[in-house]
This record gives sequence, structure tokens and C-alpha cells, in this order.
Amino acid sequence: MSRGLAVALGLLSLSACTAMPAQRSSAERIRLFASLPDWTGLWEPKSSADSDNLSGGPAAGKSGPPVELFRKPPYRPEWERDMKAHPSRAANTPIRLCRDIPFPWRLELPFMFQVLVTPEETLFLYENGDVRHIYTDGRAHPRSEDLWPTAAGDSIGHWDGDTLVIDTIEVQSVDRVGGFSGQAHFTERVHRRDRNVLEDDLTVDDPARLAHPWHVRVRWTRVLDQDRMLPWDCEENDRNPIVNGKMTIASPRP
Amino acid sequence: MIAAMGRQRRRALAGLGVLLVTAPVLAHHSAAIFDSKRSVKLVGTVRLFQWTNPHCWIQVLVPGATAAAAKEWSVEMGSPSQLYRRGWRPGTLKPGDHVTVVIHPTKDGTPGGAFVSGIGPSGAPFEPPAAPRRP
Repeated sequence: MSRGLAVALGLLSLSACTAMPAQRSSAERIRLFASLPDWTGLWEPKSSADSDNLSGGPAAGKSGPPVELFRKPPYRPEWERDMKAHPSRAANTPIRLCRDIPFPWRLELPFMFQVLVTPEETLFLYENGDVRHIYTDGRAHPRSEDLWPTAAGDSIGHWDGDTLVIDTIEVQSVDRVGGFSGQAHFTERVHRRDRNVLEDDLTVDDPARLAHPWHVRVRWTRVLDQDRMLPWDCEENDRNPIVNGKMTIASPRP
Repeated sequence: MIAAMGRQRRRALAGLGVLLVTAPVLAHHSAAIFDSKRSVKLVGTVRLFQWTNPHCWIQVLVPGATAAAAKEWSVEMGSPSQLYRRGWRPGTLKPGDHVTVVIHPTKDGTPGGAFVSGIGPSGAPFEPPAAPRRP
């Protein structure tokens, strides 16, 4: 390797390093860990905890409290007209849910999750295998040319006392009720309301779709009747194939 | 034995329509293929109990007037995680167990439906525990 190339690589490496948050000492990390709130345990959306669908059937259940995110957001009139022109968009639930569930639907779908709080990031670990990363190490969102739309978007955050403030962008556009454009900007304030309730105040700013920013409060309750995360899989024994656009029931495999 | 249950659970199901519109309580897919306004009681024998994701299933053999009229029904349930919370386990049902199961049948007439309630081989109903266990 020539000296010139080595110097260039060295500078490039230095440049990359300076873009990353500074490394903390172990002592500093321990101090920060101790200052973070305790959100250990299993959690689930309050709306699904209050429903009575646990033992049973896909259709069994009773009405629980409304799921806020599936209420109709204050869409702009032109988007309302567009949805009416496409009746399939009026359906507010996707026909099938597996992985990469779009944000913010993810917040209220009936999957359990755990929250792993570290000084550098907070992770929401969902029953279906989805993971939401919220970086709290002081970084900014990546440059626009380094981003592309994903189901979870890109989330950074910081702690305001015991409240986690989250900023999310670059979420894939969802053209159904409860969905937003790819330009939507999401701000959340998550805190533990009491021992068994986590509360998330979400504000959606999406001028392309919404007449005005929309505020929604989502609550999650501690799971008290299950002692561990159990595996969930979409494909192990899926007996509801879609045939000619309709969901069906398949016979068990021999 | 198959019996329709038109009114018995009407009250309990009164809010269901609202719930299905507002919340996909079934994590995996919508329940649109089932007729939530109708209930059918199946009395038969378990051929197979599938403790699987994304759904558990009970295959119930329901005898008919003749041997040829016997029919197998596919009863769809929640996920193992959902059932586990209400006390179900992989060994809760075994082939040959006599059961009574109430379902919301499919809309298209396929012999199957969504589990609503049931009575197990011991004669005790599959009921959720009265209160969640506290840590």
C-alpha cells in the first residue's frame, strides 16, 4: 500500500469515527444505566389486554376500549376523496400480519413486547420478531441520501427525565386508514404512568395527508399472567391461504 | 351433533363488530371469513390438536346420521401464546377426547370456524381463569 493511499484511508477512517458518538467509559455507562427508568417485564397494548380474545378463536372476544391509531386521523379532504375512490383503502386492518409491521400501527397491534433500555439505545423487542431501535447516544438521523423508507422508519431519541422522547422519519407510506405518507414525521413521549402502565403520546405531522398534526395517546399494560416471551411465527402452520383473493381454511398437513 | 346457537351469546358478541373494525384482535389476520353473528355447537371427537403458530387448531370429527355423513371440522384458535395465558397447554387435548366446541362458522360453508368456547374431555368448560396471576 502506498503512503498516500494509507494516509487517505486513515483520514477516511478518522472521518467515519468522528461521525459516530463518542465511546463512554465503563464507569460512565454504569452511572447512566443506573439513571435510566426500569421498564422491565412483558407489555402489551391496553386495547388487546382489555379484549377477551386470549383463549380463543380468531373471532371470539368482546369490545375493549377503542384502538386510537385505527380511528380516523384528520385527513385532508383530497386524501379523503382519494380513499373513497379506492374502497380497499377504507379497510383499516391489513388482511395478514406477520413481520415488519408498519409504524405506527405497530404500537397498538396485539403483540407482546419487552423494552430493553440501555444508555446507547432503547429496543422494543416484539413477540413476532420485529425489533424497534431507538438510538439515544446523541446521534442525528442519517443524511437523507443514506435513508430509505422502511416499516419502522429511523428513530432517534433522548431522555427527558424518565420520559423517552422519540423522533421517527422515513416510514413507508401506508395507503389505508391509519396510514400516513412517506413524509410523515412522528414524535413520541414515552413514560411509565405507574408500575403497570406505559404511556406513549404520539404526534403525527404529515402535511401531505393530514389537515393538522394529530395527537394520539397509546397505553401499554404490563402482562401479569405470562412469565416469559413465547415464540410466535407466521409460517409454521399457516392454514389460512389466500385463494382468489379470499382467505380460506386449508386441511391440516398429513 | 351440530346445533345452531343464535341467541345464547348474542350479548357477549354485541361489541364484536366494533372491535373487529377498530382493532385487529387476531394478531395474524382478520376474522372476516367467519360469521360472527352465528354460533354452531359441535359435539364430537378430537382427531388432532395442533399447538402451532400462528394459530392452534382442533380437528373435530362430528358423527352424522350415517358413517358417510360424518364430517371433520377445523376449529381455528389463537396462537399458543394467547392460549397459554388462559391455561391451555400442548397436552390439553388428545386424539380421541370427546369435546363440545362452540364456533363462529365460516361464511362460505367450509366445515370450520373460529373457536368461541368449549367443554373438555373432563366435562369442565374451557374457561379462562377468573383473574390473572400476579407476580
